[in-house]
Amino acid sequence: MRSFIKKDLLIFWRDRKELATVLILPILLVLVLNFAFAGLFSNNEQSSLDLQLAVVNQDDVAEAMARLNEKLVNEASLGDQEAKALVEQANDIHPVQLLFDFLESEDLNDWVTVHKLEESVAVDKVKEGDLDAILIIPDGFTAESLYAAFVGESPATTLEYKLEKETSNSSALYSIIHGFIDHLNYQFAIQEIAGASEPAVKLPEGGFEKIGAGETFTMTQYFTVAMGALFALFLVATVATKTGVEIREQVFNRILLTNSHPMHFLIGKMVSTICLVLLQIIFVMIVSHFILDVFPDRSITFWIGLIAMVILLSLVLSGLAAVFTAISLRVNDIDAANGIFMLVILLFGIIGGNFVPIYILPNWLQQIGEWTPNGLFLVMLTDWIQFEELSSIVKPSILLTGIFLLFTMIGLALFPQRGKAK
Amino acid sequence: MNSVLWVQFCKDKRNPLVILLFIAGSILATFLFAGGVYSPTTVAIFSEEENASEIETKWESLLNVDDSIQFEIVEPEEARTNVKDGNIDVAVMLMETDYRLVVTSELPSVSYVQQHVEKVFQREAQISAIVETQGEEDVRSEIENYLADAPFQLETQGTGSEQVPKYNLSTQLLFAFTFLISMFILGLKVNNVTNDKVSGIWDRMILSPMTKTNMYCGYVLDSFLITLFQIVVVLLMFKYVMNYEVGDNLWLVIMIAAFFTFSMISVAMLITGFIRTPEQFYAIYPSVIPLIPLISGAYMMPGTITNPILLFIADLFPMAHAMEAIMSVIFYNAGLQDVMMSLLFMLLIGVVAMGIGINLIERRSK
Repeated sequence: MRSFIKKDLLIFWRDRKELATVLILPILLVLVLNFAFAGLFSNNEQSSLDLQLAVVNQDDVAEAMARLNEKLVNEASLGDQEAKALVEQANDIHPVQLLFDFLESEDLNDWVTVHKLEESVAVDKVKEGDLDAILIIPDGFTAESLYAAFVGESPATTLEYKLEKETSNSSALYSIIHGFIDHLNYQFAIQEIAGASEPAVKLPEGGFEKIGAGETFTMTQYFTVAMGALFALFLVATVATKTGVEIREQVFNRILLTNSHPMHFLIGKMVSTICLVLLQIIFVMIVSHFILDVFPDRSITFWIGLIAMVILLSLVLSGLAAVFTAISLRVNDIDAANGIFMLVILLFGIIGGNFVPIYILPNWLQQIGEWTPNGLFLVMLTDWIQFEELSSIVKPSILLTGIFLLFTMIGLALFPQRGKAK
Repeated sequence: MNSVLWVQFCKDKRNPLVILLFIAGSILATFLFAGGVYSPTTVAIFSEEENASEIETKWESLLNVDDSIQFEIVEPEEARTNVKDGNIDVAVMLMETDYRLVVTSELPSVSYVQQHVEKVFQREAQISAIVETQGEEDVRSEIENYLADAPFQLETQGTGSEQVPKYNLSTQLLFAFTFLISMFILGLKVNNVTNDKVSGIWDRMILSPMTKTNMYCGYVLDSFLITLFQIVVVLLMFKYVMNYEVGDNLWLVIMIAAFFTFSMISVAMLITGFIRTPEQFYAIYPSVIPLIPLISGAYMMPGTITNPILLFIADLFPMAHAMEAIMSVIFYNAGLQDVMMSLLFMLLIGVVAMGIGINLIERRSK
């Protein structure tokens, strides 16, 4: 039997290009994903958001009060005195100035850059892609809006938010501005209703209650674990395709002539899968740990647990390799079989959450995903990384062992009898 | 050329299972994922005060204002375990006038929920302050009335016209998944070159009067037709059966897809150039392909990836160009003129990759 294991490992050793791909690509992926999502999903100070907003101010603030007065007298038919009082009151409110103060405030300064431009210039720049969006403050905005606020009618003018294409940047800018306008309106509403008296507001404290052992599960950890598991899955498909090579290169026929027990062939495949998966995942984890410091300051227990789980995963995947190998020996068209293996691996990868961001998946599919070996492995490692509690990983471990036994049984059952292989 | 094409078709005719499975898979995957985008985030709320149920019902109705986040009342224990197990990102512990967010880690959804909850609680605090000082009960409806005619308004427009450029992530995902699967299909087909090489058919073809160009054309054409067939089937399915928004200009979309297919076949041919056996192809190709839509930003809103190095790498693959062209056709009514640049880029990638790829394959066989 030892010679079979040696043979299977040698097949991989002979093909070092492929081995290198399987080892290096996941690390490359972890790095790329980290770059791609850095700042997007973390609440770091160094946010990568860089929003460029053009503001076109067509409103003449100096004239606004005169216009407001005129409008109050002519259209709302208020007396001179009354109108004067309101204008006096309005003098303290400069919505346009408030808007500028807000956009240029320190909170926003880090990611919003405001350019004050003419409309035609701004449109050109947005079309060229230099700017994300334009905010136009139309002529008479202050007067009309304040008039609307005093009289309680809909305003005749609105701010115009112009964009060329809807991107994450232009949506972010929209929600920032919209949030401000919303807030402004709300404050006007409160003032209108509360009148002159300013009630003391007891603001909520808010805040967080962190639960768990305090260890957070970072995106980098997620990518490392997910990519490790995904490429372990690919490795299974690769092991299975090697059966095709052996049949083609007559290795299989030569094995038949040696009169070895058929099971030895299968066991060789399984053991080599275990070795390769172990090598691959541990390599990915250790190298990404040294490059990105994925698991900082963890105890030795943590690492032992991690390795135990990887061993469990490698067992399960060896079971899957057994099933694939058995199928390869049974079908006529080994190419079609390879295609289907790839499809199965893709399916596992997708619903296990290794391929695409898991948030895309509907909830029920996420739950099914937790039943795939890679999904289960992901869930188990997430638990372990956060809490390091033995009790929380017992159940998934038993499940994984169960899946391993199930796969192995299926593999054994499908494995052709002596002389039945096609 | 025809005979090569025909023999490949015959292989598929004899064994159509894989292609059919892939087409079904691409429809299913798109359907599941593209539909899932709009399922709202569920946030658990609970209270541990004495009059817990009263507080919970009060805040539940106040918090559930729009469709983007759904707040649900659960038992405190259940909420904590769910957060701890990572089943949900965040739960909100409610008090009479205050709240705490129960979290384990800094997931992106948390700050979004925090903003919303904070806003609601602040507003409620102001309202209750007014109610206290003035003794009015109707404050809430008064505010609503006022806000219905809010003095300050914001309106979205396109730069060129009044029409707001609309964007839909579902549609983008539809194409992302369709293209992802089509990359696998065309890879399987291109792999036939190596398959036929190792089985000796390639040598027999070389002995026949057929030219090399004809041989390669046959394989490329076969791969092209099958993949385009898949894309067209999926698109028609989504346009006419499931009524997805895939634009009015279907012909242009299909044309872009055709350019993409050719370009990707060339990339697959390039990868084939590096390997010797079909099994190696199975090991390398599926590991590279999932990278492409990720770095091309096909799963995310445009503009999400800003890293210049990543953007450059993405530009080397046809997917980024294809997605850009298709999105501008569907959402911004671009015509052939507007997408010409993307088409030419794909063509360029195709020609260069095919050239290097075939060269490598030919060198290896000497």
